[in-house]
Amino acid sequence: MAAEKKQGVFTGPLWQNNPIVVQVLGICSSLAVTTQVKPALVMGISLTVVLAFSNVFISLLRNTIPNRIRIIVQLVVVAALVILVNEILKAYVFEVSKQLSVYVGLIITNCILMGRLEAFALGNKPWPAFLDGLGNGLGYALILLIVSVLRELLGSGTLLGYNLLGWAEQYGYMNCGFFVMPAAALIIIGCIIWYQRAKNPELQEQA
Amino acid sequence: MNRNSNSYTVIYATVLTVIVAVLLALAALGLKDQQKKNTDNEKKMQVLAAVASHLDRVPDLQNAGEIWASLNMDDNKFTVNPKGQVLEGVDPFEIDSKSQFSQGKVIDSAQLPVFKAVIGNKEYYILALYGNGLWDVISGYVSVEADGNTLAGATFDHKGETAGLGAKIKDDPAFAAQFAGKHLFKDGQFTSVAVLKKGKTSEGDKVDAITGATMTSNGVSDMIKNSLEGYLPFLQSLQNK
Repeated sequence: MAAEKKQGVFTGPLWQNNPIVVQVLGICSSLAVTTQVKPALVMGISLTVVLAFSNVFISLLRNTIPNRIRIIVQLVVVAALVILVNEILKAYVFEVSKQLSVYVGLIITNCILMGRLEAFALGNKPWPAFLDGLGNGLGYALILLIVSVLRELLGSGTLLGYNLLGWAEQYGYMNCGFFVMPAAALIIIGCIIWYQRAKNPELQEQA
Repeated sequence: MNRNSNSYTVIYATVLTVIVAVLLALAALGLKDQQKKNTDNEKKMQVLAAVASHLDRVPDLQNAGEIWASLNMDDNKFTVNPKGQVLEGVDPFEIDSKSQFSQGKVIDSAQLPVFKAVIGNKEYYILALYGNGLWDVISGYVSVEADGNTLAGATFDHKGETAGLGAKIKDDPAFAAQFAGKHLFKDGQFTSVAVLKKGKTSEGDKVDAITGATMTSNGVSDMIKNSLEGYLPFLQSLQNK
């Protein structure tokens, strides 16, 4: 029973309870960093790391945190982890950290984080909290990956910087500049939500 | 212990903050050298981009340090002031361009970096540019040939120009490539190189502006004129050599 519950904690947020397409959290950064696959991947991994570990720390501290400054304590833990990730990115993947610019810092304000800390980490033991953070982070990364693959392929004709559609140009193929714009990300996410609700009628809101 | 008492709350907050502060300070110290190396490499890449068409490979973040060392750039850099005098003991690499300008003009006490690149048997002097675009600061480097008049190349950077329009000053290599071969002086008078709409003429040399990015193009034009005005005595001393 306990094992089954733990599994749901990890796999649920990957699709059935995905933070972006079901809970519709973290939309801002998913529009901003998905023009290319590489920054989207780094962003997805960064958020997963921050979310998993802040979940663990908050879960460890959950019985000591004074209720009145609960949110502030959460913010301090999240901010510390985000700054740490940002410094490491600047030192070891400088080019990508330039592309991500302010969005790594803005992980602090990502609604997925505060949502999971409040809803899960404060009331659960460290291990399930870690799995929950990992699941939600990877759910976020999965959507970022889908959106960024479509946008980079159709918008720039490349994947991870490799030119895949260059050969088609002699037959009159042109990259669609629209996919480079943030609006394209919103439309792609909208299509994913549409597909998912069509497959899972129980997710549809009652009118 | 009462978790809701004021003293518990205050002590908890203080201890947590101190622990986090110490951890972050340690991390920042430990990673500082590697980060400095990255930002230095980026700057070297930008400086070298002004002479990129004369190099055997395109400078990027990985090879910039290597090219820099192979050209002995560290031995050939110096700092001048707006009177054309060489300033001793000022590392041109560490100069902050922003503080050399006031209201878009070079200040009298400015320190202006010059990077001399010797490629083959030709000398190029790479000069720093700094100005305002439409939304935020723009910057760049131009390389001048040993005659102190002919441009050998240019490169531009920006902070927040419109993607797909003004951002082309950096993203579209064709824009910066136009500057090679243009002349800064006409009949001994400094005319700069104007960035103008196709078809318009100026007294000196000109390049074509970016369609749809008039404000950014004007910014580049002003930046080149204002920044190089600080270098005028230095350029004239090159011409008289």
